[in-house]
Amino acid sequence: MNDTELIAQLLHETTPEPPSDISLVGLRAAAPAPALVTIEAIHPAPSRRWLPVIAAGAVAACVAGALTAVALVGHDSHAVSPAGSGGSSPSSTSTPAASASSSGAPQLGPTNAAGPLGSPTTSYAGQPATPAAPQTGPSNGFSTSFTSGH
Amino acid sequence: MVEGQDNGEFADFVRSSSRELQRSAWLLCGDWHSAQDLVQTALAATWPRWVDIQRDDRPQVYVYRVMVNAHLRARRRRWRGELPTAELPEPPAAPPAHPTEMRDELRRALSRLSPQQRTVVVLRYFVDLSEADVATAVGCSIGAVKSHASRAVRTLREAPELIDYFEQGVKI
Repeated sequence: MNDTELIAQLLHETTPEPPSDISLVGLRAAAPAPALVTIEAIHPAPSRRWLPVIAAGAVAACVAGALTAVALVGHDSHAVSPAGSGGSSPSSTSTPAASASSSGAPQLGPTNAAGPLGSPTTSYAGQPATPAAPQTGPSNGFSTSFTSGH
Repeated sequence: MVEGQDNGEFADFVRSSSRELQRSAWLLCGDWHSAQDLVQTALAATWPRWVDIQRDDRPQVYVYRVMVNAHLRARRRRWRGELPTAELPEPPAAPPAHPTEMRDELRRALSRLSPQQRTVVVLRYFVDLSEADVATAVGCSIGAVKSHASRAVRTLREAPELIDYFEQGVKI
């Protein structure tokens, strides 16, 4: 026999028999699979884990946008159309940034006498930022306070 | 956890191969406690993947691969520079004739090998895996397996514990 055969014989004939077999019960307790399955079931994948956060962020963004829109609309509801057209309709919440031009298309910018946002409380230097006194307008009960530009 | 038929097939695999796995682990570790822990670790890691593993022709190679990886990882983790021993490593005056005595000689001779050499010797000459399977289990090339085996055989051939066995052909 050569050396490798002698080693193989030595290994086979001198290695003792194990004192006991491997217990399947103990193996079941040691196996990590159930814990992994449970963890997988409880905790979704990382991408799915962020879904509630993303959804909450989206809802918050929508709410914030809605509140901003309401605030702007409420803010603008005090504004009226530029002189000449104001007061015609109490329900009109004219967009002060847009003025009716001859072509009918709204124009943006300083050509609007009310300014970009047409703030009714706009005051110049030295003037208190209080709403102007009601002006006598059309007898429709709709009063406006409008501070024109230059 | 695999259930049903797969569970039963895995249980059959454990029953049929656990003794051989434990004996191989004993040759790797040198004591039964570590060997049984090692086999249990390997089988516990194998169980969840059993459905995929059993499609292979040789699931045993996969189990040995897990076992070898766990063994080598554990050896890297522990400090083994000094080991207390009650026996001095001098060769015995007379060659041991009993398997129990020869077992201690073998264990001491195997401890002279590097972990990789010892693993290759066990898988190649005890488990009787092919060089390709040993390479797969150890995670190295076939050339590295041949190199480890050659050096290990030379080391064992020159080990004082086994010199009588090789020279006189002591019948175990």
